[in-house]
Amino acid sequence: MVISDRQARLNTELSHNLDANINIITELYGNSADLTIHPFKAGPDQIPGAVIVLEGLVREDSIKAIQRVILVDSLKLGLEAPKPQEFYQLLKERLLPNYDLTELDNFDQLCENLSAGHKILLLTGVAKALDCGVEGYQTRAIEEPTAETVIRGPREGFIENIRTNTAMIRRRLKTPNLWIESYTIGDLTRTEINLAYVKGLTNEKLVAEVRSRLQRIDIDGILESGYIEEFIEDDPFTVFPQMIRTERPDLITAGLLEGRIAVFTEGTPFVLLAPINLWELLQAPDDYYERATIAMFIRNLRIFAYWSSILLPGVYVAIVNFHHEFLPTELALRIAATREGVPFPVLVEVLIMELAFEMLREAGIRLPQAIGSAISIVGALILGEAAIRAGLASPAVIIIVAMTAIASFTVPAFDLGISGRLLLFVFLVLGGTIGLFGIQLGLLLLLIHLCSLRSFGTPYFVPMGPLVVADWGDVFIRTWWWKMLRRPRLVGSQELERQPPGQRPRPKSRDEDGDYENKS
Amino acid sequence: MAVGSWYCVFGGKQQRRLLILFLLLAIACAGCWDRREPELLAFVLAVGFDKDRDSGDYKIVAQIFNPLAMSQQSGGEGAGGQDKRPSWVVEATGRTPFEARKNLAPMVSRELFWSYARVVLISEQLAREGIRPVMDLLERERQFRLIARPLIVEGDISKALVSEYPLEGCSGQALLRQLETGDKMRSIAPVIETRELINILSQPGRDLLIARLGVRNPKKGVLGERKLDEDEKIVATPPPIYLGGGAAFRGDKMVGWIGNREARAHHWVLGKVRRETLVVESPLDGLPVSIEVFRAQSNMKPKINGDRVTMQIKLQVKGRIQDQVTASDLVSNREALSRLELRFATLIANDIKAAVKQAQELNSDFLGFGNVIYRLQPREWEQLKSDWPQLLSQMKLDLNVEAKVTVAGLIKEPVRIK
Amino acid sequence: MKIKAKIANRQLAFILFMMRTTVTIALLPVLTTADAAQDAWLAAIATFIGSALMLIAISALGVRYPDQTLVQYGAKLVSSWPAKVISLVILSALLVIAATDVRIYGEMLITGFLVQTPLVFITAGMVFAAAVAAWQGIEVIARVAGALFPVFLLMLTLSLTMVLPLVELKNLQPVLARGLMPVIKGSITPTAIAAQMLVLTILIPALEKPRRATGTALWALLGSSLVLVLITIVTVGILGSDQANRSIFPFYVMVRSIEVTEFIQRIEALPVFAWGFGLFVGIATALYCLAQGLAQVLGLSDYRPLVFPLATIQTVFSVQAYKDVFELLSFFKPNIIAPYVLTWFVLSLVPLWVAHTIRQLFVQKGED
Repeated sequence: MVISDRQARLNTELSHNLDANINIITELYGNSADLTIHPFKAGPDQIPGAVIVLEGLVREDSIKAIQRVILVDSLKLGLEAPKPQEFYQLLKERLLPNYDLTELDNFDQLCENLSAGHKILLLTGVAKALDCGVEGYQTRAIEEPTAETVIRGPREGFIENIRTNTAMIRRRLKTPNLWIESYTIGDLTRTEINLAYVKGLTNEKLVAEVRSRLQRIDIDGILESGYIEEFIEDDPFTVFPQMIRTERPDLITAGLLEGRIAVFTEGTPFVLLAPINLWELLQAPDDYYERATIAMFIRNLRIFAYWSSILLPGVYVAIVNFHHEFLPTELALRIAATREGVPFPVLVEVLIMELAFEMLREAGIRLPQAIGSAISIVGALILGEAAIRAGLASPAVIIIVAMTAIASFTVPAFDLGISGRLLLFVFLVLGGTIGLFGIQLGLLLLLIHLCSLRSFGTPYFVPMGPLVVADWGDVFIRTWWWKMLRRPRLVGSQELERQPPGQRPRPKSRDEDGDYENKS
Repeated sequence: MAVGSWYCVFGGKQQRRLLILFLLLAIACAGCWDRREPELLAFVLAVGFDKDRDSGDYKIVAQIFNPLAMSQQSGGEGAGGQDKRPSWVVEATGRTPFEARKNLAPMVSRELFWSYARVVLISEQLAREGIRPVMDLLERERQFRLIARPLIVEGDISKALVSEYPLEGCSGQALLRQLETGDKMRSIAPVIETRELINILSQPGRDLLIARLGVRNPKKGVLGERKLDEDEKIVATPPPIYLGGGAAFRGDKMVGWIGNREARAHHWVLGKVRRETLVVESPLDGLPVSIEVFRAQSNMKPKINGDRVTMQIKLQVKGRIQDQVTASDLVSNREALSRLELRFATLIANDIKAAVKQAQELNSDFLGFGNVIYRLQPREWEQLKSDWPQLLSQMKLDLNVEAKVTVAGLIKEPVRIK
Repeated sequence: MKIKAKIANRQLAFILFMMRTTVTIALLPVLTTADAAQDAWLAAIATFIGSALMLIAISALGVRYPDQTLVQYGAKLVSSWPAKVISLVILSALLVIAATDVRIYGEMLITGFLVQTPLVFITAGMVFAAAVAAWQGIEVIARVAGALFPVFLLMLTLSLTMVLPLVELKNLQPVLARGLMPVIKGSITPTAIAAQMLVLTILIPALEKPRRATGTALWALLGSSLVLVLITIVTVGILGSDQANRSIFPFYVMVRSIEVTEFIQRIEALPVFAWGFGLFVGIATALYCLAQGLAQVLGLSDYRPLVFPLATIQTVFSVQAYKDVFELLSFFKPNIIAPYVLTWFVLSLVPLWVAHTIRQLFVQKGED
């Protein structure tokens, strides 16, 4: 039987016959090693029944507790020989209500819950199963997200458990207006997906759009939010990420407060936030915690770094190969002198070095941390130094490659950083074949692309294209919190007003109180 | 639609991306027309133009930077072991300046690149025959840049270029630096950029004055005629060139040399003096005092009365005392100071008078008097311009020099020796 | 077919500003086409007046039919077939202007930077980028223009302020020595180039506030004229009128022949990049209008299939229309370009205005 037929088989009702029911379950699970059936005979009449669990998903003592309730506590009630149906009611209403009980009557639901770690109680003569709930499985402790560290800001990150994750948001947003909708996606994985937004703040059209995009998904399994991202994004063929994925609850909360939506996926700490624009991917959470003036500088530095990580090698090759006259005399002579004896054309030289760097970076990620640092030493120091000494690469190129690498690492969103690394090669080829004209052509095509991109219906390149100078307050500068009076125009239009104006802190004027010093 | 439908193929989202891919491929395959690797270029740092005496052909002299010498300096093991000279000077001739330039190609292993030629040396011979052809090349050819500074060389161009400079890598760079420093420290050489040169050529009533570069006899050093010891040679290399004075032109042809004083007058009149030192005799005892000028403003106004032209020149100069040989107290003594200022002003006025005289003799309006008339009274200029050379020689001067000494350094008077 | 896309009036101003500034700074026609010499900046001011009049002639009619392109209201005014002819005249004007723009840019690049590269490669590259943008629609073009606008302005400002210390105002003297004639002559060509504003005939219905189109365009015109005056003053102030006059691309020549400091001395990349960006916005808009207009003339439901064929035609035209750079320059001589543009106007806008006026009179009589 192929998988689709097997799935169809699930859609049968439970019968009155205990053995038959158990047989079907064992058959469905193919006698899996972890399927454990704890049979019992309860009550004075020795009514046969069974507690079915998947071992490992359930704590041993909780099964024992249930067994004690069924076998011992039922006797304490002093009932005489109840019928199975009565005993079932007894269990449901008087003995087990502190367990999170649900009644199940078909195998589909039964198997799904069983797989999720629920304890299933079957009783002979009853065509229903009692689901005794789940007590949670072992999860990782909440830790600081390693990929998104901050100097200042909360240290907790999402984990694989979706309830813990939504709870983290709940704890930050104590309002009933935080609505969380649940979806189950994946025929086999039955993964829980939650859609969170602040009701009344988020554009209803946006919520409806996300909802319909989520409902459209028909797939066998979801293992990570990346699957969801690819199903619901606007333009799948672009290198630019159209959603923020983050492990940081504070980032998600901030997004929700601006009228965005968040998509939680069971089994992964990465939560999606949409809609966003390009510049928001260049913002780090620190920007909003650090002093405004500092954040402003760092933010612009990052924007500059991102664009130079795309353009620097291309422009270098273009100038050195085509527009020699653009350099100051001394610099041109230096570069010509360092190029002396290098056997490759500049373009090839830069390409080789960039590729070598990409490999180095990938190797650094894949290797265990202890060896990872060794790789970077070997790569950066020995390889670079040896290449220069052997005259295979010129120092200028090594500097360019290193600077590009450093620049691309300043981008907080890893996926955006990678997009830059990818575009780098395009600009490298353009610059190396037709010089700055090629760079300009590439820039224009890139701009057209960026300006035509949308993230859930909002322009991706805003506030540059379309030009909304009023929103520059949160892109090129980071205004003080007491001055951030409005939400971003395009996502927060439902309720633009963020806070009342006039909250700028000032010392009390001297006329009223005088100096503190005089007082003391 | 029949035609349109074919292009519709490129309408689909996927196909559009395919098209972009094709374009990228096309670029990669077809591009590279203008691509030149930097190590295959030879950077020219200074260029000289001359005229061959016998054939009348144009001669070009180029000083080429040698990158091997630099990579040696910076300790690159890759470059060839033996000593490389920092530059190489080559020359070629041709019927036009550009042909001469092209004739260099078969002699040099690398393609010559001219954008870094920041100094243009022109020989006296060529200057006397006319510099327009050379200027045409400089202006037209994309690699030459008009920020290059032209100089008229008194002596041999090649000699100026081959000479060694202790402080700089090669003489092209050295020359450029020297021009800048010379212009900053003293105002005796009218250094201009090619752009200004061409502008002046096109201005009515104005003739060119280009700085003069003199080539010294390398045997004469700081130690005089005495023969140098081996170790003295290293520290006592004589300065191979000097800068000062200029070549006066009529149109694009040089008509004569003028000295430092007259060149300085050019700066006075046009208000271009940045820093210049004059030695004035003290009014009290006749011993010299150095006064450095740090600000000078000039204002010219023509007075035209029929055929008689009088040029009013108003000059405001400020200076400071830099040293004094005389022991007398010039600063606290108001009267002495104003007498010193009067002498200071006279010195400047004499400069100008000498220059005007020279201009009248050479019949070259390098002080730009005609241009002042053109700019301020264009209608009168229309009538005067045909006779201007004559009118210039009869032109009267109305000089008004106001020279002030306003600063005296850190001390007021000389040490009182007791 | 109605144009569904909407752009803000401000975005139109960006487009027109960049379009106009680019062409006028490219050749600096106030200087190079006649002998206004040191009075060229006055010619630039005169140009503003002339092109403002021209703009009003173009847009005032469109504003009266705020939700229709010229193709559509033309049909209403002078019946279907004549309107189609008139529209084709205007579209051909757009094609010629856009192709000439690209050609100038290409000529500049192959003279100044890429000497060996074939001209067609550069024009085709530029037109291709413009075609991609036009294919995406006017909204995307407007967005790109908005994104490029600050960059464009910054580059121009930088290249102007950096050279400012070297400006010698003496070069601007004597003022008006030869009377007003050369000034007026110098302003003819740049005024004629304002025929670019013909894109408005198609763009007005795409505006959010179409009734304010004339005002918007006038602001753009004022801004670009200001830039033109500044650039003319700076160029003449640095190069002198003669040298600027003899140059083919005076602004470029000026920027490349100055030295700001030892380190910053080769800043010509700034204006050339600005030029490329502006050119892109200009030809993308022209191409969009061309395709949109032609689609309406032919009665097609979508303009997109026309974009790439028109782009191909434009590329071929830009290369083939002028034999060499001299012929290109002679096109800009006042005695050639003025009758040319005048013919376009007489054949297109004049009949429409006449028809409109008659209609207006007729309607008013009917009301009385």
